[in-house]
Amino acid sequence: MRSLALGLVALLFSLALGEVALRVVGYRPRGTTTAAGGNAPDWSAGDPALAWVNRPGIGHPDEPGRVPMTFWPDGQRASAPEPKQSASRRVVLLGCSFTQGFGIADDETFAWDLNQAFPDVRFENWGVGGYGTYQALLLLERLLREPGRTPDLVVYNFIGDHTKRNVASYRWIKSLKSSTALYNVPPRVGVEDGGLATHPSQVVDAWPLERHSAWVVVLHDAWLRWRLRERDRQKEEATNLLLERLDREVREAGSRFAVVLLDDMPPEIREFLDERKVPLVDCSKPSYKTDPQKYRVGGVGHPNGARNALWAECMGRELQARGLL
Amino acid sequence: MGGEALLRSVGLAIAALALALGVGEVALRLLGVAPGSPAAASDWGRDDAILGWTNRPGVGHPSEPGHVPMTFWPDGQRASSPAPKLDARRRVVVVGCSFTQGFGVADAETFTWRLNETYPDVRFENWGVGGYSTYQSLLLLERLLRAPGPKPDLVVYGFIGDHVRRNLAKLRYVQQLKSARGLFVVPPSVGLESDALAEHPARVVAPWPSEQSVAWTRVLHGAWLWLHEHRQRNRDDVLATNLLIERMDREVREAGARLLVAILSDLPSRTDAFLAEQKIAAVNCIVPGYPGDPSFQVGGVGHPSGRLHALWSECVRRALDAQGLLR
Repeated sequence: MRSLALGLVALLFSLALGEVALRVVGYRPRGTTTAAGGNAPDWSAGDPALAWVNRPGIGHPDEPGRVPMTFWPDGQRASAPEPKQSASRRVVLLGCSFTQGFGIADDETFAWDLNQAFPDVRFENWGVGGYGTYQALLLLERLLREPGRTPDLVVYNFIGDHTKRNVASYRWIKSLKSSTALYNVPPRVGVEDGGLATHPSQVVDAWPLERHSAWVVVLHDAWLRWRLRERDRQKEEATNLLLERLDREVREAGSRFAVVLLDDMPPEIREFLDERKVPLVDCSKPSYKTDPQKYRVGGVGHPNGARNALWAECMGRELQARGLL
Repeated sequence: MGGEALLRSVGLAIAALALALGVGEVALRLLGVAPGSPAAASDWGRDDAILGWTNRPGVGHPSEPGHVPMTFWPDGQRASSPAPKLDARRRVVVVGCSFTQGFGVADAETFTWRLNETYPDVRFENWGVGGYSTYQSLLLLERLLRAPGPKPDLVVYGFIGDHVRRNLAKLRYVQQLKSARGLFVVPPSVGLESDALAEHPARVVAPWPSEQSVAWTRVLHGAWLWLHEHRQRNRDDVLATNLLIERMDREVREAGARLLVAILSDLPSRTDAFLAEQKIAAVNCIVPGYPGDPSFQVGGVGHPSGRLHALWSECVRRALDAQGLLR
């Protein structure tokens, strides 16, 4: 009996010591947080299928300057002084915060610049902060279902980070903090028998005591990392299947499709696009990361107006050269 | 034990095992378990990477009494009028399975053909495909809603109770889908994750080595598939079906159209309640004599007959008029 009590005391002491050690090296119990993506920011609204969409009105990014971003009633980012209803062509721009123009003024986004450069084309900016390829696809499917004019061209703006978002990898999930649960995980895909399997949005709740103990945080993180270990291995193949589906569905709609590379593309995705003859426009040079003062909002944030201007120039030139405009 | 004795024991054990397997093989065959073999492809269906299969344009022949020819237009829809009604004022897309397609009956006997006769200024398009589930109908509908051109004014989904197990690609159903490409084809299916829909792509189950010649292997493969199914799937197939119908309704509304669920056979009570709760337009066209009354079945034994299609046509017409769905 005495041995048992001694053992228990030793265990508790070790756990307490471990807790102190973990806190000293930087681990903390989970707090209740508010962050980009899942909810809370004033630029986004919840959506049952897409997890989140742009919220119509004015939103403010958590970037230096907190420059207001305008979203029209249908959720697209304002990309002209007013919608170009009489334009002879319609181009849908899809992507993440880089396309949306997170952190910069409406008239600094590349979509706005393109609308100025091509007066008879309506470039619609459907970029949404935090989106991967799969959410962009779901949004496009919704746009293609809507009655009205089919787009003449759909441009998907790629950055390398989309691959981990598509499969909801451990590292991506960790960045999607939620004010109600631990993480809000957006819809994701996986590869099954060489085909694309899709999974709905889900919520990862905190474990008991996780908001009080660093030990539990470490254990939960380790469990998540182990449970999701396969996802990183699938991210390139899953992204290829998504790009193939985007291309097919756009062609089924009687439209044309192009991928514009904004930053970082794994070689296997580049090869896949080449093999499938999907037009790829490389506008990634120079990378916005090479000269932060020159190309990032406040020197630390998202790509700034100067980088967007270069993208617009590259896109306009290359899409026109390939006869896509 | 000497080396010779050990060898004799091992030889005896192998002989006993071989004999047991041989006797088991004979017993399995006597019980009707034949080795699995790929099926011949039907002449009315063709492979589709996303949907599993679709209608093959041209004339196909069902495996039903009479083998009545079924005509499919170049886009894959079943012929539902003497010629496509291109100048019709309104467009109605009808999706569903073989009951909607009119498997086993002549073109002019299908309920869609009769609706086209009843409403001269409306184009009813029959996109029913034999063997389809709610999920496959939804995927086909999504393809149609993406296609350039005018969106439909109305979508009619022909529901039967069997769609419920098809949506989850239940093993007992999948094992009927013999394929020339493998042992059988698994259509695209859904599962449930946190009470929301997860989607799984179509695939082909390849035979195990020796499965096409040894009944034992077939039994073992069947057992493995059964275990796999039980480990993988949330089995609330009615909830999955309800969520699929809800998604169909949402996407149809996003396209500016309306949805009518036409219940042709076997409605689970939870789906009935769900349709009412979600205010999804539905009409119950179940005819009590089917199945059972031979006059309602092709050749007295097969799929719904022309007589049953006539009753369905009348039932859908009444719903369209009463609910003002073509106004």
